[in-house]
Amino acid sequence: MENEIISEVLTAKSFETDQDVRWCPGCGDYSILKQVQTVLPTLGLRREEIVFISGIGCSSRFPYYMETYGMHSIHGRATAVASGLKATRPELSVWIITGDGDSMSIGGNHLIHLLRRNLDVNILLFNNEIYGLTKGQYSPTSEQGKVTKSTPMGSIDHPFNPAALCLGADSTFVARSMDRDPVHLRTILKRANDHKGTSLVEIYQNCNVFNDGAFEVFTEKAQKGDNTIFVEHGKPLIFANGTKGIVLEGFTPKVVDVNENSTENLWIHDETDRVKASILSRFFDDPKLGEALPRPFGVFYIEERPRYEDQMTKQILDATQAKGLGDLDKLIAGNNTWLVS
Amino acid sequence: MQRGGPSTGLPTKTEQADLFQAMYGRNGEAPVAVIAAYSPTDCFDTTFEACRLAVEHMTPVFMLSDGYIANGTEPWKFPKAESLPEIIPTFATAEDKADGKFLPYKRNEKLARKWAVPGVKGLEHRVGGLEKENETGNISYDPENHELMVRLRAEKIEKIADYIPLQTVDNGNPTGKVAIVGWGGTYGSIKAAVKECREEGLDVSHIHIKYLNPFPKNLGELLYGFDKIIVPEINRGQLVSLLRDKYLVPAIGYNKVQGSPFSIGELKTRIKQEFTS
Ligand code: SF4
Repeated sequence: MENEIISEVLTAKSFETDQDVRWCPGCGDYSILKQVQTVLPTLGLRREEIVFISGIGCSSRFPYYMETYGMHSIHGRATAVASGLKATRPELSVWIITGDGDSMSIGGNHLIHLLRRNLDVNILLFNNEIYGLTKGQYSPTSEQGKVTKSTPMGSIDHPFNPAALCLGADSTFVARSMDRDPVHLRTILKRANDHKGTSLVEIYQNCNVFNDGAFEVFTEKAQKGDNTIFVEHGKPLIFANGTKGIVLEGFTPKVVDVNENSTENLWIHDETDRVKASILSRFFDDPKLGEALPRPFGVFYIEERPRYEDQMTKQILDATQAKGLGDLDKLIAGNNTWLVS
Repeated sequence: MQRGGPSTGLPTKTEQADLFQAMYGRNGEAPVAVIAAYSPTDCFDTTFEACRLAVEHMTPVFMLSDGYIANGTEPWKFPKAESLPEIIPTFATAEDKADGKFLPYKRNEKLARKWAVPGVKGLEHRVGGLEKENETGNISYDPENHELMVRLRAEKIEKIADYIPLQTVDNGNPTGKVAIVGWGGTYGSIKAAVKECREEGLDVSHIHIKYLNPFPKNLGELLYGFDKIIVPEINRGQLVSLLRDKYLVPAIGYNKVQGSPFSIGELKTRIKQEFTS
């Protein structure tokens, strides 16, 4: 039995459940599920120590399709449930699955507090810029002017920029990837897992039923080149098949022609530079408007900061060392008690 | 911790107006256990009991207290840790697998599911808000299954009645002319009022209910033994509705919603009305 336990060889298939996947055919969620199932066996984890916790929404059905421990929890509160689990069971590998509605709307508050606390969990934020499960109302990441069932004359809400929001909340790992680039997504998932702290991965996910093509300018071959930039630590910011690059003039990013600029002048991506990461996160122009900066993908920012669970464990250890093990009787008795007779 | 409502209401004043919320506040028909402390010293035992029910019966438990209890003081002879009864969680183990499959929604004799804790090999499973098929825990939209699960969840709470003490009479005879039935922080005033009335020769008894959902198994029989049932509450009549509903007894509310507790005088006057008319 022991031997059998140790020798379970995991493959992507090991993580499939026998449940019918209920996403619409063609939904970007399928690709994300596949990449997660593919990456997991490479992480050196045992199946029973993996937990997927989601909120509510299309993306949040994810745990039902993962043959691990899982909880389809409360709308916007996967972050809270996961915080509790990780604080008490630091040895588990905890993954939060959320969407732009779940994490940016009803769960916005919980999200920012998880980020500042820096528990070692991975958040996969499926951003499809729409409420899919409820059939197509605008979400907190929908672009201004978006016409949906709930905004027939166009939304007047200014959208959230999740990467910038999370950097603002002092997230220690912020990355962006997309459903349409499996290789990139797998790389980012691995790095998110490796990071010791809260990892926030925003994943552009196509909702082909209610917001089809929302990201096609960033994800489809024909347009991707000019509109998308993949950033890598230590490498210059180059896009458009190597023809264009980004330079920083002061704090202002500018698109330049690579031929006229030696690559030395180009912005070299530094994942540990918070200021540059925040500028990068602000590459958020609507590509339909001319002169738009390309949308960045990759790891924007990484910071080593003590994890909540480590500090909590340490505090308990320190207290135990200083004061000895807890004694319920002493605690209840307090310092000033007497017997009424 | 009930206080004058609604919302922030009367923050430092007492009220008993959240019993209905605890009883019925969930969406769908999904009852939970509800118990109430009746005095500052009783808060310890009631909290302990709430934990026992939650862990052993795998259910959320509402423990109701109120502003009067919270702001009250009385001497308390605290127990020794070793004298506290043991709370026994039932954990699932690899042995719970049938034909190689773990059934996360299989229930024990309490109708509670076993605790299958992340990290245990072979018990990987998913829980969540969508309706689940009985035993397997698969997502299920099957109409018959939904009705079964709604019923099972209710029966699980009802079953708690087998594991809690029977209702006792706090003061007075187990049958008689008038029963004063209270819950929560009105305990002290009712106790004093009933005591004084009894000393004056009135046939009145005091019953104070700690277990509000489910009620103790003998509560109905006990109530049927009295000609009149008066239910004083710091609300517009919540326990009285539950009692009438469940036991079809003509219980009468005596209500006050002023952020303050009943005075002993008020209660005595009300009790005496039953003996003068
Ligand atoms: S509604 Fe959109 S996001 Fe939801 S499953 Fe269908 S395609 Fe995917």
